[in-house]
Amino acid sequence: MRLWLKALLTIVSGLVLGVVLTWVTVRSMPGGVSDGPWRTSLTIGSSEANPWQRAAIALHGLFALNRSETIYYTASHDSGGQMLDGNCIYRLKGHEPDARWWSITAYGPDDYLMANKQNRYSVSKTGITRNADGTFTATLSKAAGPGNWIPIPERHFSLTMRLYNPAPGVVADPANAMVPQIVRVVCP
Amino acid sequence: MKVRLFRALPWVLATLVIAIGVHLALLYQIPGYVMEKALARVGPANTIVHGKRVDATARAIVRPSPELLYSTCPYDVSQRPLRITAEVPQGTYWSVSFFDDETNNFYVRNDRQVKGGHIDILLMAAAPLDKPLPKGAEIVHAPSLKGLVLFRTLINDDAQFAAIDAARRTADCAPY
Repeated sequence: MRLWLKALLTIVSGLVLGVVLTWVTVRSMPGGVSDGPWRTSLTIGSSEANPWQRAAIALHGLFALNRSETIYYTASHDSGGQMLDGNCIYRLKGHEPDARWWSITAYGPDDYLMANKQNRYSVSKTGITRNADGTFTATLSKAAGPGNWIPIPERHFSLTMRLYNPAPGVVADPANAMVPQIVRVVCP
Repeated sequence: MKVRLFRALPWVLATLVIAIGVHLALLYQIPGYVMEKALARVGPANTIVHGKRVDATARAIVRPSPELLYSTCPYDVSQRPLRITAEVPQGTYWSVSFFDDETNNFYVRNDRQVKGGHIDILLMAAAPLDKPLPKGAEIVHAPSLKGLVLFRTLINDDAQFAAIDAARRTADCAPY
């Protein structure tokens, strides 16, 4: 092979590999901790974030507050480890997160709210109907459901759970906070 | 075979060096680039914008919260400091937060932390001020000349939306 062709191939391969490497490392939040199906970054909004975390935060969580003010958990899988799928029906169930205020919101693959006729995007501490034992249950489905319901009109979606002014115990140990399960009920 | 591999080694190493260089360059450019684009979408510098209630059409900031009302003021303290004032809405969560041009959240205060029900903050660069500081104002030094001031107000009761919306609109920012 001629020298110039080898050089061109090397440069193009290096560029492509560099872009792919970047995409792979920042497509989801690197680092952080898991609590069931929920993941949270310990450095979001903080100058302690490493370059990979900083890039991922810029792409997927821009203007997020630091964790003493708000903790953000995200879920792209259910409690059984399966990727969330808008064709399925899910049940969110468990105890309320320990925070001054909390919400759970569904987002499409572009990281924005998904359009739906009811203009419903989330459940939260202020609007949720609780079970007799203080726990809550919410349904995630395409078709409208009774009570606590979040529409998931798109195939690929993810959830963000926000804990505003989280309890000190949650700030200290976010991997062992009380978080709801995401149970797959039925999948066609 | 070994000779061929030996000959290819410098090219493979060169490919890896270029790939790592591109990767690091992109990695360090992404936050600043994303921030610049976001600030341009939000509005003009040193001017407050009280965003409408968030729904599926909201595209200014990724993963917005539909329960929050956002007011934004992109800051540019390269010429003058920025004075930020607000009456804190009562009975709901409210916060003001500052982000530098690398997306770091370098300042945040919520309604429970604010004394006296209002804030008066002077956000400034390291350059000395050519006039007296505003009396009673909190001084905050900006780690970058450009960034964002972001107010969040929780709509904790839909029936009170008009009152909550009116209360958060007392927030303002202006060059000092």
